[in-house]
Amino acid sequence: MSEDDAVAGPTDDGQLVRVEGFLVRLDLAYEPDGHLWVAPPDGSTGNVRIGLDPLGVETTGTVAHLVVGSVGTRVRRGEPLGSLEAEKFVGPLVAPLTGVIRAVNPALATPRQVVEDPYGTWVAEVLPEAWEEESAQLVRGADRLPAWFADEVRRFRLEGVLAQ
Amino acid sequence: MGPEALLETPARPGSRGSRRAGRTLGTLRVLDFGAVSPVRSQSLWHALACGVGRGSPAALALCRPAQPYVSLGYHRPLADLDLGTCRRRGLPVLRRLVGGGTVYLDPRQLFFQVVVPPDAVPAARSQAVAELLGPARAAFEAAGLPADFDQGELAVAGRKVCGHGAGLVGGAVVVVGNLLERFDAAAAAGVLWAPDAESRRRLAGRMAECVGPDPTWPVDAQAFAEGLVSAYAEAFGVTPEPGGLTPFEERVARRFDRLLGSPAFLCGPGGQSETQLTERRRAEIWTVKVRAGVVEARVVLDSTVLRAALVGGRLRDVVVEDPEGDQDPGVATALEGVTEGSPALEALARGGPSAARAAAAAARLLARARGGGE
Repeated sequence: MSEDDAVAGPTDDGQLVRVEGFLVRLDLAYEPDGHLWVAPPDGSTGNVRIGLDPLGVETTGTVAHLVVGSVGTRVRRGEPLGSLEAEKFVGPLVAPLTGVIRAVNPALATPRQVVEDPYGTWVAEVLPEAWEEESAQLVRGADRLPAWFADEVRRFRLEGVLAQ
Repeated sequence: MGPEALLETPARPGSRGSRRAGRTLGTLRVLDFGAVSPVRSQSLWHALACGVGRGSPAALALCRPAQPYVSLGYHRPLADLDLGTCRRRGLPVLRRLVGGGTVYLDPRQLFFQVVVPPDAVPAARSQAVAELLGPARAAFEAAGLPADFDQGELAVAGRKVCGHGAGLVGGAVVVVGNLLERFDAAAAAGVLWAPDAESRRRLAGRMAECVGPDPTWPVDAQAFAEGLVSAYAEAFGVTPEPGGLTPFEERVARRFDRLLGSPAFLCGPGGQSETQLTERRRAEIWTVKVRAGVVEARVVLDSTVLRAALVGGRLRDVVVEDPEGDQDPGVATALEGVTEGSPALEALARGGPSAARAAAAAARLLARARGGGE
């Protein structure tokens, strides 16, 4: 597969492209280390929604439990937002932004939904404290995302995390 | 010390710092704690993880609990347990910071823990667990249990001989396991909440079939311990160095002594233990995972009670109780071996009311199993 083939054209709504077999939404920002997506702040509440991107879901394995901190808890970028268990392995879900947890998706009681619909199943809503500053450290932009995502898939394949 | 703070980054594959750097381990500390109290059998290796996370060399630890107790996987609800039974039997209840189920532990189980820096193992969880658990296979063989990986578990002839869990604790990757020298199925089933005596009886029977070595198999724990040290030293390419906890780890162990059985920590990261308990008792479907691919279940639908095991997605040992129905034994027989979407379910659904209720109960259980409900 050539690099051009790896990045397919937009799907119906123009905001979704298929990259190396994974769907990538171009209207979201991505935390590159944890493979979390971050939606832009809501116009009325200022909250941002956070979820796992499809590559994050794929490389995590079968998610058995996903728990986010309580509403009202302040989280800092790079520190635990919650915890996740897959393959009997427990680790933190790392906050992509500093802020206060405003909502936790009740759908997390069935973690399978995150796997089946990564973009449709947000994990938490956070009111960010430093959106302008911290969002600059996220990957975003329709011109940049497909190539970045393709590089990530190739890296995971090289490391053996994803099947070739 | 909040538990979330102990689940330090890196967390998931690709998380900061978790990318495999091909790091080699300079040495392997070997710590044999012998028989210790229930809480020490957990706190010692939690502390060891914090030490490795701070830069101490990788470690292999061994211990066994001096008394029986119960351990909850980090995310498991307290509602898994029959707390009244635990209290009556004087069993301490502890929560651990690694994954896996709610388990009964006793002195006939030899625990081992492998603790390494995150960059010494693959980024993918399943690969990391397999890589860190893999060398233990040789030790099981040395103990007289020629185990192979079966659906991610070490098993001999369909019997799970090693429970395991894993996680990122205090900045280090930990895989914990145990040699089940003998498994007390009745005690293990007895500490779990079950909706009725028959469910518990069936659960104990299922555990006796699937967990622990066959009672006739000799198990050599000493050979296991020696095999474990040599297998991990060889796998890591290092010389084992016996030793003990550092002063820092000793201090951290004492903090874990207080944390792991504390009421707040026992409620779990999601909290709401009372809610979970109520929901579990009212739920129409009760399941307990016995081992990978084997679940014991009870479903109540209207007046019908369906009892069954799910083995590889198929119903086994089906019993249907329907006080309002005609108790046709053919219904249970027809459900044997059934999988989700099976024509047998449709055929039963078109039968009489009793058969239809049993088919509906079976369908709900199979759908729940597909969804990973247990």
